[in-house]
Amino acid sequence: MRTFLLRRFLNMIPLLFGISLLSFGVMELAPGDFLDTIRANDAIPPELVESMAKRFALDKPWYVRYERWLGNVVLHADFGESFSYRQPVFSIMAPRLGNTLILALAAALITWCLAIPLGILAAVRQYSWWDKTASLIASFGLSIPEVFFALLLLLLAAKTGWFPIGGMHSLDYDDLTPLGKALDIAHHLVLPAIVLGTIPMASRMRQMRANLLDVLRLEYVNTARAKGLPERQVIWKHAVRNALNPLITLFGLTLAALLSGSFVVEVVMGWPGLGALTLEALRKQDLYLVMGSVMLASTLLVLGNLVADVLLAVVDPRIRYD
Amino acid sequence: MIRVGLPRWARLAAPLALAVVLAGGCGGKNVSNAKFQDPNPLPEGADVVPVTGHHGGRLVYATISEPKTFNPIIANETSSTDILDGPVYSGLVEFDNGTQQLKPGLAESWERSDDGRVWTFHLRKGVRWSDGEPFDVDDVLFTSKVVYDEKINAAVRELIKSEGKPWVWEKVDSLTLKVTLPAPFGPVLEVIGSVYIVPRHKLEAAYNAGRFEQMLGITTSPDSIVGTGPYRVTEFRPGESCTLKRNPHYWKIDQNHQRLPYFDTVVFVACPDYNASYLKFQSGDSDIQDPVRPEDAPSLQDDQKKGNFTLTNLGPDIATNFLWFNLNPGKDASGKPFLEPYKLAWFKDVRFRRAASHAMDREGMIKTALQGSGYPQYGLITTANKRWYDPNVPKFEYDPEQAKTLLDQMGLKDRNGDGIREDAQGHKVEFVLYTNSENTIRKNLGQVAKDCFAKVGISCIFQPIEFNTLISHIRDDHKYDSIILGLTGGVPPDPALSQNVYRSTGLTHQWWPQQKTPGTPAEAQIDKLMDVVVQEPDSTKRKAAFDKVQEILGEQQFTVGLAREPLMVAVRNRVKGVRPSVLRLHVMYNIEELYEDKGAGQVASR
Repeated sequence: MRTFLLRRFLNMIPLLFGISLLSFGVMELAPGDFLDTIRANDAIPPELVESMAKRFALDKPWYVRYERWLGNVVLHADFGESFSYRQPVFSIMAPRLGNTLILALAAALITWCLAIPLGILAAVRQYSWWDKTASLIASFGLSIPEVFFALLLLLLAAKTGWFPIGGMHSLDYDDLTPLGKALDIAHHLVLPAIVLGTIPMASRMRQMRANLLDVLRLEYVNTARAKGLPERQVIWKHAVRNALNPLITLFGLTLAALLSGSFVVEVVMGWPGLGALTLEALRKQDLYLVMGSVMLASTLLVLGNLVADVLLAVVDPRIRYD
Repeated sequence: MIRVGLPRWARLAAPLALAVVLAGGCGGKNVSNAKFQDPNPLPEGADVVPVTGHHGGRLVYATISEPKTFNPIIANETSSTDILDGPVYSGLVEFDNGTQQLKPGLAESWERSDDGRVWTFHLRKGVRWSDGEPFDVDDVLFTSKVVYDEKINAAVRELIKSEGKPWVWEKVDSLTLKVTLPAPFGPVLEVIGSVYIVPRHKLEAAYNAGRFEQMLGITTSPDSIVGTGPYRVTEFRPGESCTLKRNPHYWKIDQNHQRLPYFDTVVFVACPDYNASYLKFQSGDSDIQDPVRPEDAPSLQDDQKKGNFTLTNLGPDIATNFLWFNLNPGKDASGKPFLEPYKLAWFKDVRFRRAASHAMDREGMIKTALQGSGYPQYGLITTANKRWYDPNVPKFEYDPEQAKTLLDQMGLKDRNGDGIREDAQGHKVEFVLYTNSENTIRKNLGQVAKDCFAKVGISCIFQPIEFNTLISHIRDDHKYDSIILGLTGGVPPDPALSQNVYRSTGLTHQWWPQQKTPGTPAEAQIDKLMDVVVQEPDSTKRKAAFDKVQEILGEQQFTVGLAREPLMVAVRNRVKGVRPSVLRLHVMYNIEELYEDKGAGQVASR
């Protein structure tokens, strides 16, 4: 296991390097640069645009910028400075990162706590009314676009006043007690977490159902039943454990998508997370801010995969890494 | 849409504690503070503003994006300048968006020498920074030093220069400033007004250490953000909101000698999605919807009474939408012309450009592209620009017959009976029209323009493309036929500040940027007139020169005006003192004069 982990960590280095090169390349291939909006503004004189280009090294070819950026990352762990904020990218990303994690964890909680039991229920009671309702919910979840769902819930919030319309804190947040503060954030969290959690929940539930049905058809399940084991034990101890394997891989991938999955919801619902920040940076071609965010998300993706592999080994005795 | 009393059960199991805190907190705040206590003495040189109002209350304003910096010297996008320029920092001279006139700011008066080269400014006595430190000429000199520093990319650096040379700023005494210009310059006061003064006592050490650009970033503690504006930043939540509280040392007072501003708290809420900000306004979470999309106007119109707000149509916007043809005769590195020579020959002919203007059905554009309300546009300056608009600009109004006659005169005739004209060499009169795909209204305008061209026998291929690609066609490769784009113009809307559009050497001289020598006699004449607009100290002469510029541009139709939607804003009725303006920030520019009228409807914000 130790050599496996070591090997995986060493593999991450060329992988992340490749990702950085690729995303830097894509950013540079996109037409124009950060200064375009400023260039189009007739009130800003060209001399200023030139001196800003020099300041940001945007007058140099892309590989010069990449080399400098990579050098600073490797030597000083410095991921550069945002063009629009003129601050180190991580100082801008840090508060946003926390917010995104809160949202993503709440959403993951909704996804997994609902998907697994509901999927099991649907498989055990195949073709029952419950199974049919669940598949109806699943097709709803799989087909509804995130933006639309988010706007629908915002409309609900506006019509009923049950939930705040976007944001993460109310305006009176500072006057609240610590408990009140936590509840205030939770209150704001409900709608975005529902949007973000329900959609993957639908597919996870279907996967759980299909896996369990496959396993239930296997002979060892028949054997267990023939031995006279109670049905509850057959399902929970023998069938479900084996049916969970593919979902554990998916769980690892969920970790990876934690940072990147919430772009749309964050923007529409005004959640002050990393997604909204990255999207704006991408639109404005704020190069290093985008790179910082991409590198963070990729690192999480790679780590998520690793966690999935390790979890798999823990759960399934047939899998061993040497 | 307004919900005042929330169903208690809906507050998601919120315990009594929360409710008590909320009720207690709000109650405390909303109790009318009839007696306003001013802890600080009024400055001797306070500016008396002819307004009255009540102190207290909170104003919530939803914007698209959060501020990127609290440093007014390097801030160059509206998300930052909306908060900094005016609310938090002041300049020596102020521009009133409502009257479009200059008025005294930190300087209470000024004199100009006869040749317009030497200006003396008298600063107000007793003005203090929001942290209580005194303000004087040294702060102004420090600010000018920072702005002129080549290492710092100050947005106004090139504006406070004459013929590329910095002005000389000198201290006469602690409240008197002398500014000497190396060459005459017209809009001195307008430009001085856009230099927002920063505190020397807070920033000099960082400047000397070469860290000025990084100062006052969004991670700065609010206590270190010190200005002379009506408000100071007290809290910033990344991606969410920026809270301002009244500056207890502000230097403007009302008619009753009570210190301004009136609102205790102003919150700028970042709301990147338009729909969400619209819902926020409708449900009472924000007090101002700025701007209102044309398609939302009818439903807001109906909700005014119920929602306790007023929808105001501010008339034509100062911004424009127009079409231009590529007139650049240059060649690329491989010697290939940017534009096929036969196309350039059509576009260069003024009759073609006038025919294009005659072909544009602007009323039709308003009906289909602008949801029925809008204004036809002809020149680059609209009636919204009170001081500079010239009513005598020639208009080549919708007249397809006249367009056809002009095209016939040029020898562009339909020779093969396919409904599309050809020139003498048999080239089909066909060109590509670009616009930026992010702008829905321009996309609709382009569709109508295409049909209008078809009606006079011109084939127009309309292609919306991505903004950055469009800009690189205009600036870098110059390979395009025609484009629809707009101009927004700054505040104050002085043409000398957007001379890059009018001068043939300018980078935003869209149809043929950065010419070495003026390409047409008309452009040569405009260049000469722009010298007057920029350098002449006498404002009547400047206006006369710029009227002539507008008339030449109109004659030449370098840009063919289209149509623009009206600018509309909606403001909650409890907010008083509003004098909305077509100039940005339409409602909030006189933030210090706004106040809450508690009688006007319930306080809807939660």
